[in-house]
Amino acid sequence: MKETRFTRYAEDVVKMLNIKPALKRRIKEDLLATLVSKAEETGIDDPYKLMGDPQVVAEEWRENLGIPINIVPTRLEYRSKLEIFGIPFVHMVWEKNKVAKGIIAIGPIALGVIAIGGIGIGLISLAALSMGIIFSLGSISVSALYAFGIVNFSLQLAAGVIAISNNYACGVIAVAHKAAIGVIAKAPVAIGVLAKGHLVFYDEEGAGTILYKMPQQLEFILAEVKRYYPEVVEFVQKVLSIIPID
Amino acid sequence: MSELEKQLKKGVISIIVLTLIKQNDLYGYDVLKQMEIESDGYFKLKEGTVYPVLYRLEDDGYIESYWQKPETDRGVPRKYYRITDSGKRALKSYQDEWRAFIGATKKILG
Repeated sequence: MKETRFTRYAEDVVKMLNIKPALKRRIKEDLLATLVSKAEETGIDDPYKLMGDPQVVAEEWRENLGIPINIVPTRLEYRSKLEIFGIPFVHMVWEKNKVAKGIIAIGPIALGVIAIGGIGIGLISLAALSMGIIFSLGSISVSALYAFGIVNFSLQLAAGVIAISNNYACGVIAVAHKAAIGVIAKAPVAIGVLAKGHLVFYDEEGAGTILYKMPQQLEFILAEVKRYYPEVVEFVQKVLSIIPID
Repeated sequence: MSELEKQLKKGVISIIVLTLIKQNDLYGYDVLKQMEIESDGYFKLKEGTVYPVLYRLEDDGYIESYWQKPETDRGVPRKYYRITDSGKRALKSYQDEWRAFIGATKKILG
């Protein structure tokens, strides 16, 4: 684990130096050996603490190897000096397939409390493929609580084009275990153009035990929902206050 | 570190590194540590400053490297440097130049 971090760090340094592969290998080898020696001496295994910012290290090498400044490639990573429990507060990566790990992580693959990127995993995640425990927004979005986007899966609330949830779903296609509101809705309480469930409010086609053809007064819908499924009335009221039912 | 201090240090690194390696075979990090310890912290230099000097000295044939595993089994092999005959001759020449430089500078500065 420690060696992997050291190797990655050494690679980050040499990547910023526009030099021949043989010299890169030589420098990487020496950086690794130095990191190992420093770690043995200090007991610290964080390469950033042992040697500092890779860009500053690369600059030092560049200057002493006589590499012209204009051919040093642009930096592909930012890591804040501020850390919380050894985790950088902000970690941003612009390099393909590299993982950003931080309290706020931004990158092609982001792992953090707040994760933003191509693939995001975190408490809050905003990404193309997004997995957020509390909140998730993305093309494909998965969350324990709130998932929003195109295709969404959630335990609490999913909203988007296709929304599938354990409790509440709202979308073009909405499927849930408690209540669903959408063009196509399937849930015990289902409200939609095509709706299927137990207590159903439908516009064109409905299937269920208690069926009502739309349009209906909002007050009536809420009263019926409250009568049979009082726990979902708040969800229905909130959604129908945003989406007009007529 | 002022620019002058930086330049002065850079100017003498080769001579110091050769001197230290002449005393004992050293690996890269050892060179850094020895420079710092023996100068009471004055030559506390970064890897990016010292290693390029080692590379130049090796490429010039003044030092040569060999790999050695540390005594503890878990340690990774280290690249040690030793001075060559050519390096010893170069060091002698550097030392003569250094003395001439110091002498002349002192003469002016007093």
